[in-house]
This record gives sequence, C-alpha cells and structure tokens, in this order.
Amino acid sequence: MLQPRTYPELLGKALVLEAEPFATMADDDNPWVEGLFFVVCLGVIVGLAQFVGGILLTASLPPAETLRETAMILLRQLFAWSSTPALDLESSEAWMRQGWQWLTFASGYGGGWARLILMIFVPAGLMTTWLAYGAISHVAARRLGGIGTLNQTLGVTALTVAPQALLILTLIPFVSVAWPLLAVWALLIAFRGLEVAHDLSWQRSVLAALAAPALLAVLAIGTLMIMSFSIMIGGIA
Amino acid sequence: MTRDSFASNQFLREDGSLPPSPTAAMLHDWLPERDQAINALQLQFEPFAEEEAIDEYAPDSVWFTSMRQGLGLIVLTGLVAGFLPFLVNWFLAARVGVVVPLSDIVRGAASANMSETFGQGLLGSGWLALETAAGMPPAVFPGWLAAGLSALGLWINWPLNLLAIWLVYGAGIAMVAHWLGSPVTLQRFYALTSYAVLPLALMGLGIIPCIGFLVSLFAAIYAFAVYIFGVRAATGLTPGRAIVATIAPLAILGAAGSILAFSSGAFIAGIIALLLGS
Repeated sequence: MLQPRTYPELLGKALVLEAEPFATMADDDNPWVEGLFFVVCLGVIVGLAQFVGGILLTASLPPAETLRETAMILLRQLFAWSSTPALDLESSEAWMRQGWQWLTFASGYGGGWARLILMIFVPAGLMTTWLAYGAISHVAARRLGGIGTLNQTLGVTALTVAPQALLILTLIPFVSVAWPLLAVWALLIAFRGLEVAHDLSWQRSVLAALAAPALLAVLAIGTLMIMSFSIMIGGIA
Repeated sequence: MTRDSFASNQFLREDGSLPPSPTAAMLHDWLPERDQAINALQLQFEPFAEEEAIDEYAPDSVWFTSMRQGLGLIVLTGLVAGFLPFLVNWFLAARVGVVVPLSDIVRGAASANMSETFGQGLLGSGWLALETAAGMPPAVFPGWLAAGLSALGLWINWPLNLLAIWLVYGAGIAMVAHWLGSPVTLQRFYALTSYAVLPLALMGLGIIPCIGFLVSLFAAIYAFAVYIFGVRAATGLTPGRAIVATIAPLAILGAAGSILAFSSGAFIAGIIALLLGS
C-alpha cells in the first residue's frame, strides 16, 4: 500500500509520462483501492479549491442579482424592439432565469451555499469517469492482446486524473484551464499506463486509450441524430 | 557524525567541490541549462539519434533535456511573458476599481464612445446597460484587490495556454510523425519541442502600441522556426516531412472544425426555424 505523501511525486512523474509511477501502481498489492484513494483525494482538493475560488470570484464581481437584472432589462428591450410572434416575454424570462442559475452554479459566481455541492460533485464525477474509462480501456486492451488484469488497469488509469490537479489553480478568480489540455494530457497518461500495464506496442496502446472517447463520440453522434430525426418527424411539441 | 551532517549539502564530493544546493538541484530538475537554451535559440539541434548514440553529443546538447525540464521551461516562459501584462492590467483595472474583464469593457466602450455611436436604438441602450453593469463596484472586495486578483488569474493563464498548445498540438504532430515513419518517443518529442516557447517570452510586449504587434509577430515566426527544427531533430524526418507533420494537424483541425461548425449551425438553424414556425 502506497502512502498518500508519495502521491505528489507519483502525480508529477505521471504528468511527464515516466514509466515508474505506472509500474508502481500496477505492482501494488491492491491497485484499484490505491487508485480509488488517489482519485478521491485529488477530487476533494480540486472541489475545495473550486469552492474557495467561487467565493473569491463572487466577492470580486458586482452582486450577481444586479447583473441578472441588467440582463433582464436587456431582454425586455429586445422584445420591445422586435416582436417575435412565437416567443413570449414571460417564458423567455423564465428560461433566462433558469440559464442564469445554471451559469452561476457552474462558474461558482453567486449561488450561495449551493456551491458546496461541488465538493461532492467533483470527486464523484472524477471517480465515475475513472471507473468507466478504466473498464472500457481494459476491455479494449485485452482484446488487443494486453496481459494486465482489471485491477492493474484501474490502478494505472487512476493516474489519468493527474492533470485535474491544474484545476487547483481555479482557486484564483479568472484562471481557466482549457478542457482540451486536460483531456489530451489524460489520454497521453492513459496511453503510457496501458503500454506499461498491458505490455502493448505503442500502436495498440493508442487504440486502447482512444477506445473510450471513441465510444463516447459514437454515442453522442447517435443521440444527436435520433434527436434530430425526432424533431423533424414530430416537431418541438 | 550525525545522519544530518552526511545529508548536508556542505559535505564534500570526491573532486573536492560542494554538491549543488537543494534549490539549484531542483532548478536543474525542472529547467534546462542556459547553454542548451542558447543552442536551441540558435537553431542548433543535433540530428536524430537512437538512445545509445546520444551520449556522444556535447553536454550542452538540447538532446539532454527531459520532458520535466521542458515543462518547467514552458511554465517559466509563460510567467515571464505575462508579467508585464499583469502589471498593466492590475494598474488599469484598479483605476476603474473593478476586475480586469469588466475594466476592459468600460475602457473599450468609453474609448469607442459606443453608446453615442449606436444612438438611442436597441444597441445604444444595450451598450449603456452593459457599461453601467461593468462599472459596478465589487460585491465585497475593495476595487484594487478585485483588480489584482483578476490580473493574477489572467497572468496564470499565460503558462496554462502555452502548456495547452505544446501538449495538445504536439500530440497531433507526434501521431502524424509516427505515421510518416518516425520512431520518436513522446517524452523526447515534448522535451525538444519545448524550446519553441522561448521566443514567446516576448509576446508580453504585445501590449505596447504599434511596436508590440511587430514584436509579437517576430516572436511567433521565431517560435515556429524553432519548433520546426525541434520537430525535425526529435522525429528524424526530412525538413519537408517535418513541415508537413507540423502543419497537418492544423489542416485536419481546421477541416473538422469547419464541418462541426457547419453541421451545428444547420442543426441550430433547423430548431429555430421549427420554433418560429410552430
């Protein structure tokens, strides 16, 4: 069992794609438990950083309610200027209020104590993503001739959450970490991890690492197409 | 002698010299040597070699750079490049007493005289409302502190953006290079291409009127040249293939982006048409 104090070193070495942390995880006596603890620890720290970041952002910006009312005034002016027959002002205002709520919740701006939910959402989200990604890439790696166990795959793929450590910087208002950076860095780590744990060639390791995002893309495109056809056939109502 | 005295950095090495201090050792772990950086800026990248043959290169060769040192170089360059904009942003936003993005709106609208330009119509009153909202004081913090925190956040975005370009775009180039037959490893590729960010340290001067644009343009062209040399050395491809490998991801991304934008636009337009027609 690894000690949590070794996690920063593990994380740093995984970020620069060294083989050592993956071998350490794969050779651990219980890789998936180690992975779970690692993911939850990082998730809690990131969640806490985002919580504090949300408070600092709210304190740095004008009151959220004032800005929302300004947006409402703009909306009413838009309706006064052009009378759109299909949309009425009341329902548009309701939509806007709903959208504003989601926006403030997601950005941590305003939202009061609701932002505390982030501290549960972030670790839970990371854990779910890790488990789903680990399971899919394990199946793909085994189909491609990999020799690692599911336990080892979950251990090495836990390190794919390492780039999420950058989100700790969102503690400071207006820091934004690009999602392609997090996603591509995680894929690079997964590629190295699967290569080490399953003893795969680089080509097969790339395919195994890309299996989960490819599946997700197929599902998303399929859902979008079904939605489009439903709208075309049945209309919005 | 206690255990601590053996661990001390005052303990002499075999040649009689003192070992490097912990700070110097850490810097060495996270940053390349000065001579390596100068070599890279002079486009002196030794040709591609297998791992065993690299030992024959001079000690200040860029080939003795690790990915970790490349990462450190990018973070440091980003911080250097963003320092001047940080100070300017903080000063300007503190004068208005709001965060930097809102201060930009207020100053931009005031300099272009937006409200008067757009008159009494929808756009004019919209701009007036936006200006008013942007000029509102922070909910809790004093203006200078809110301005400072937001300027700090935007400063930290400099190294994050450079990291994103280096890693995301580099992954695409490494894949294309593999398809073109290069035996490059990811760590070696990222280590050698990290030097391309060095000229981008000048990008922070982009805020200076007139000269800033020229300096930024020079920095971008210089960085591209260093990147091409880095890609060629890391991958062992011919110069032509190295250029193709560097440009190919951009072309693929452009094509994919256009298709995605067109199909999303058509989808959204279809929904709006259905909404208005219902």
